[in-house]
Amino acid sequence: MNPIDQHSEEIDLALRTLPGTSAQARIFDAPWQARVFALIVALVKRGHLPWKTFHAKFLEEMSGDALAGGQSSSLVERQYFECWLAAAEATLKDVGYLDHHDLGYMIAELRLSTQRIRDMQTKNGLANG
Amino acid sequence: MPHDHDHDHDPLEQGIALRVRALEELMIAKGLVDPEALDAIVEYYERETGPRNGAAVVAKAWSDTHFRTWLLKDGTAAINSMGFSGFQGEHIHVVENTDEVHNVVVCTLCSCYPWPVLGLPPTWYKSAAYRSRVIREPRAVLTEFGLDVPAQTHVQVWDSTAEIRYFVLPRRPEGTHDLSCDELAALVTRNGMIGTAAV
Repeated sequence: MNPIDQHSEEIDLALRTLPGTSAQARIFDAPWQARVFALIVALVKRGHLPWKTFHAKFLEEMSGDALAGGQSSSLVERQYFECWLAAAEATLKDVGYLDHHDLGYMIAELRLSTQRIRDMQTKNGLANG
Repeated sequence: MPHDHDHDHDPLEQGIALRVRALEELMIAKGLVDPEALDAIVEYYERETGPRNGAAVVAKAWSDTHFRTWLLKDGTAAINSMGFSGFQGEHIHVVENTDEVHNVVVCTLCSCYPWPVLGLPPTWYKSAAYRSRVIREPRAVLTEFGLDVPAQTHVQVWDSTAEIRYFVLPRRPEGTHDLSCDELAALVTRNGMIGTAAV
C-alpha cells in the first residue's frame, strides 16, 4: 500500500476544506476514472472514434448486472467506469487501434519499468545509507 | 516511455489503474492522443464546467421572456447562444415545470446527460436504483430526494438518450422578482435542473 493510501481520509478532509472544492464537486473518485473518461472524449473530439460506436458498446456493458441497487457511491462509480473501460477496450479493438496482445504487453512493460526504478532506488538508498 | 501523470496509485499493485495507464500509453504511442489533451479534458470537467452553466440558463429564462420562449422551442440553439455548447450538448430539449406538471429526467439505459449545462452526471443518476425506480414510482423517488410534489401536479418522467437530452426549467421561486440574474442563478441547483429538487 502506498503511504498516500494510508491517509486517504485525512487527504479527503483536507481537500474538502480547500476554497472552490467540495465533496459534491468531486467528479471522479479515482485518477484512473478521469483518465479513461478523458481518453475516450479526446479520441472522439479528434475524430478518431465515433461517439455512437463507443456509446453502443457502453450500453452493452451497462445492460448487464453492473450498478445494481443498494451499493455505496464509490462502488457505483467504480462499476460505472469499469463499464466505460470495458467499452473503451472493445471499441478500440473493433476499430483497429488495439491489438489483442497490445494491452498485456504494455502492462508488462509498465510493471517492469516501475520495478526497475524501485530496484534502483533501493540500491541507491542502501548505498547512501 | 511512460509519462509522469499519476502518483497516487501503485502500478505494481492496482490492476485497473494499470490497465487504464497501459491503454493511454498505447494510444499516445500511436499518435492518437497526447497526455496534455487528456489533462485539459479532466481539468475542464472538474473545474471549468458544471451545473452553474445550467443555472445561468435558468436565471436568464426566468428574467427574459423572449429567451424563455426560445429555450423551450429550441433548447440547443438558445443554450448555445450563451456560449454553452460542445460534446453531449448537441440535442437538448428543455421541459418547463408548471403548476400542472413537474418534470424529472433519467437515462434508463446508461447516463445520457447534457454535459455543457450540467457537467458530468452525479453518482445517483448513474445508479441502477434511480434509473429503474424513477420510471416505475417517480413520486416515491422524489420524496426520497426530499421533494413532495402536490397530488394535483402530474409527474412527467423524461428518458434521455444519445439522440436527445432533457433539461428541466424549474419554476421561479416566489418573492424573487427583485433579484439579478446572478442572484437568481445562485438559487438554482443541479437537482432542480434534473427534476429531483424544486429549484
